[in-house]
Amino acid sequence: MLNDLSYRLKTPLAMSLVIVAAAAVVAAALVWQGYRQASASFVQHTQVLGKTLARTLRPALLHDDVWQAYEILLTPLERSGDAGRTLILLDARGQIFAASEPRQFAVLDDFAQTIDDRAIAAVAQKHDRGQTVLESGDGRYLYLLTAVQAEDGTVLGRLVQRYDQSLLAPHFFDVAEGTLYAALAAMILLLPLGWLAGNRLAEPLSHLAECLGRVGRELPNAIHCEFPHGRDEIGQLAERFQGMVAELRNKQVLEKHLAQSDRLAAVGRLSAGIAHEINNPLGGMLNAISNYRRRGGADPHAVKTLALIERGLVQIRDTVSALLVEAKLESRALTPEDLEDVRTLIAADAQSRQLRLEWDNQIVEALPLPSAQIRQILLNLLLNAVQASPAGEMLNCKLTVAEQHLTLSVGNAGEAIPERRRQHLFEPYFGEGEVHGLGLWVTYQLVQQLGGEIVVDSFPGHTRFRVSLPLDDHAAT
Amino acid sequence: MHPTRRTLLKTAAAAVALSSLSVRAGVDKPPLLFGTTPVILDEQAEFLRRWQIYLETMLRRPVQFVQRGSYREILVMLDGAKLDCAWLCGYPYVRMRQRLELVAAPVYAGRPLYRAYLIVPAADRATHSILDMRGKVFAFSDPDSNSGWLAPQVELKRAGEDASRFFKKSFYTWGHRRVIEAVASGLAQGGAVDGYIWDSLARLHPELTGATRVAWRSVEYGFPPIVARRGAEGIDALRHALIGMTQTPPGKTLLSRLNLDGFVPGEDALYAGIEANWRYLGT
Repeated sequence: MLNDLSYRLKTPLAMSLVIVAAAAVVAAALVWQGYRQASASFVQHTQVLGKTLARTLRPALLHDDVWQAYEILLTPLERSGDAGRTLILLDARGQIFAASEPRQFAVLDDFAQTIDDRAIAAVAQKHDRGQTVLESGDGRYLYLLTAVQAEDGTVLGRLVQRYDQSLLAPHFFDVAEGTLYAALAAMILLLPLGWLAGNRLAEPLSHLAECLGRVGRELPNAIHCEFPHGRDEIGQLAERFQGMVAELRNKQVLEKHLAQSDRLAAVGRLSAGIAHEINNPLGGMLNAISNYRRRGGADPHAVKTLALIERGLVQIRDTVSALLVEAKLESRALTPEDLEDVRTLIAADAQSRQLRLEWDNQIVEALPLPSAQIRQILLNLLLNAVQASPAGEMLNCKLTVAEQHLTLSVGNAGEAIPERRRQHLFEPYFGEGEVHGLGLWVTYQLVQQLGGEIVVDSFPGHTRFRVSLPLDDHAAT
Repeated sequence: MHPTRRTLLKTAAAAVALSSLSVRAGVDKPPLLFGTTPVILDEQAEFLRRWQIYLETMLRRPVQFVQRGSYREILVMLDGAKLDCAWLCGYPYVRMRQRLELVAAPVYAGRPLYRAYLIVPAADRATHSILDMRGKVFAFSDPDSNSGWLAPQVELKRAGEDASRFFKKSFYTWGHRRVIEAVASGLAQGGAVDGYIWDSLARLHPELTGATRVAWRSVEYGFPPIVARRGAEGIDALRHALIGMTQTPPGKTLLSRLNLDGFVPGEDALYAGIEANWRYLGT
């Protein structure tokens, strides 16, 4: 059950428990100490009283003056006036000479018989000249025995002071009460502090636990956790955690990317296979039509039909070859003029939709890249941009060379590409609306063949395709 | 500059006040030294101060009360001319009669007589005579007291007992009131006490006397008298002042504080009973 409790509670609770326990221990120690001191000072006080009384009682014993002894014995009691204190004066034979409570300790009775406590009776009958402090057998009374001596040191008798131990109880309660209040005040002050400190200590830990709990349930991209910096254990854990999340995030991106390129490669292989299969009979059919015409068939109806078939076959070939995206043999180097041609081509389309084109061509010399493919890539991207952009907005196109790469960047201000569409952005698309949806597929295939890469950033109001093509790579092939 | 009439009157009034004060104080005369003993409740400083003022006013000389721990000290002082007069028990008076003069006898309950009491703790219902006190702890008031010593001693001797061995223990408390306290607290199982003192205390402090019981009352004896050293000055004036206390309101107030009716000149025959006891005991 304790194991199920959050550290957010457990730590402050432990802190509070420690504070309470510490306060209790200190209070108990103080009470014990205070009680010990109170009883020590009580005993000391009674010892002083005993010595004083013993001296004062000497003439009464010497002169056999019971009344004087009685009055002296009463003196210290009249003031306090409480029960539990009894003073008894014994003569040299251990008989009661006088007592502050004569009914209980009658004159001339034997003290030993009266109190019925062997240990005390033994001390009372000894002839030592000092002072003895001892407890009664049942622990109820504290006895002080003081010898009353003549001038020459002869023991004339003995003063017995008997105190009920309950007299010390008020002392104990006084001390305990004071200490209790002090401890309570300390706890009232310390407990909130302890709770706060415990909470602060446990806070990063529980935050970390909460973040860890999100791993697996949520996408790594969605997990953003902040931790205080430091080299303590929590700091180290947090650092490891952040590292782990970052790696998860990378892995996810990589997996996505891999899946996409795998799929695209499969689609490429499939379409290339189909295209080849179609191209062979297609070539045969077109040749047959061509041969038939050359031999000059007179039937005008047949000629008309063949022309119809030929047009259909040519359209199939065009579509298939677009799907195949074969590197054309033409390998003329790319010149800045090639790119300017594309600008001229697209300008008319842009014009018709009242789009402004921001053109930034930084290519100033010929590049070792096949001009036809580059032109097609750029044209495709620009045509897409024109289509996606709302009327009256701005298109931009930036062409740069840096670090042995040609970068084509085409942006428009259209809506973001829907997520569902993005998953299959570069696949052949025959969806509703668009003519054939092969533009991006072809572009992708071309970029792949040139060893480059194409990325897209898309969010509302801004979509940008960026194609990066290596210069070195192509020159090597 | 002539003093105004008003100033003159003021001065005269002040002079009268001053003279009356000096007359009461009587600074020019030697003080009357008056010894008291526990035959009365003399542990009342306020009462003695008032009585002093009264006597000084009546006698026109300073009066000084002298108290001592026992009767004996007062007797010695009186004998040695250190005191002029004293309130004594009848017992020392009859013993020292040659050197003492009777000044006045107090009147208690209408007569100048009192009794000695034997008291026991209230719980003791069995004791009816001093002879029941055999082997017990007994409190005497003072060896120079008739009621607190002489009377019980005579009782024992009449019964053929030896007083020094009769009790388990006996002791003196040097005062009648303290005999009552000793018996009330249980320190003593019996005590001999002045009946007048016990009765007076029963009025003032019934809780104290209530713890005791009067087990036996003696015959009547002459009340402890006020006596003077023979040849002391102003004896007649003192007697006159004492007897006249019933005539003035302050005197009456003082008498009621003493629980007495007044003073009479008294005569030696009053103390014949005490003298007979003394002679019987042969001390």
